[in-house]
Amino acid sequence: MAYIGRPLNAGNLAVQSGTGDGSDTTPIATLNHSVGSSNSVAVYLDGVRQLAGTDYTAVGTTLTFTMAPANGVGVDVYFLGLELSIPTPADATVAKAKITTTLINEHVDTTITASDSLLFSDATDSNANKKDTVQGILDLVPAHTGNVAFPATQVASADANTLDDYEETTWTCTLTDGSNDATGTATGTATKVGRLVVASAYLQTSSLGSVSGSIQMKGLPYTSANDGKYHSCAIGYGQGWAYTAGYMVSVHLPPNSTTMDMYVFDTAAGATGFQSGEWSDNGQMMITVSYTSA
Amino acid sequence: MALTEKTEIGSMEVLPMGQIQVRTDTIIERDGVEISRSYHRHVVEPDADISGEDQRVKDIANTVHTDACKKAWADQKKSLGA
Repeated sequence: MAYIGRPLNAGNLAVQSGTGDGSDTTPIATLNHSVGSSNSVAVYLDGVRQLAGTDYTAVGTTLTFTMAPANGVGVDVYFLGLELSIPTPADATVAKAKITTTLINEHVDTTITASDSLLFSDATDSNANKKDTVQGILDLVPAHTGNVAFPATQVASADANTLDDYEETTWTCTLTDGSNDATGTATGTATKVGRLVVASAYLQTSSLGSVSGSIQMKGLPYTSANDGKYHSCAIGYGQGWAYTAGYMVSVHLPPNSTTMDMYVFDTAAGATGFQSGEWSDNGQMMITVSYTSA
Repeated sequence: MALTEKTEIGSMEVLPMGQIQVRTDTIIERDGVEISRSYHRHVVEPDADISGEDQRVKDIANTVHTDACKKAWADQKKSLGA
């Protein structure tokens, strides 16, 4: 007759023996191996197989007979299967190399759609009640979907490859001689990206008042960098100027300043300060300047 | 529904030579909940007239704009031909 049953295991089965005394239901006090259930061991009394769960029970390292084996009866325990322990890796010990590439790629390639946000929970919050969004310099909260939001207060970085600020603001452009201001100001606009500022204004005065001598335009929203560099200003439109026809007007922003100097150039005298007498009470100038801020 | 508008000093930054960069925030609220905020900026330099400034700006200016600070600022302006 062919063999029916489990295939034979390679190697030797562990065996542990003892002797009954007629009163002890645990003639083997402690099994040499921890077992998962009664079926994990084959128990024999003087060579007679006992019925698991009925004649004995085995849990862990404890073998208990329903009735104490008689005095002098040999007890043999064959370990058929040892309890399998599945270890749990310690926190932060599984390296990326131990994870299939497919899984890693699925993770990396996850696409965040307009309705998604990345949620994180506090390390002590297993129920994710304190979940938070990815927020900070890169703001992906739903309210700002599609935007990159920066903190209202710049977190400055000196790194040449780091973008650390974005701000839109207005500013008040005023014609001045350094001491006296003309009447009539302009609310200009400015945008700051990193350290780069682009500011524009359309200044229209109504009266020069006490303004005299060389004139300037002041009020830029950010001080220019104190790096010894000057920045040119573009004049898009002018009206109400009283300087000699054919002369050229130029405006520039010195370093470490919020005031733009105005000049008139002619071939005879070169560049000289734009004089208040060359600007009418109702003078106008449309100007844009891009510069690096402090 | 009540719309309200208020302004507040949102930011003040003091530069190495004593300039105070001031950001004034205009905030629109609906029933006490902010729905809009815009900025207006100006810079208070060491020789500026601060009489019209917010008290907090004045407090900083009075601390930062020492005689030495004002002299350094005046020297710099002179060196730039201003």
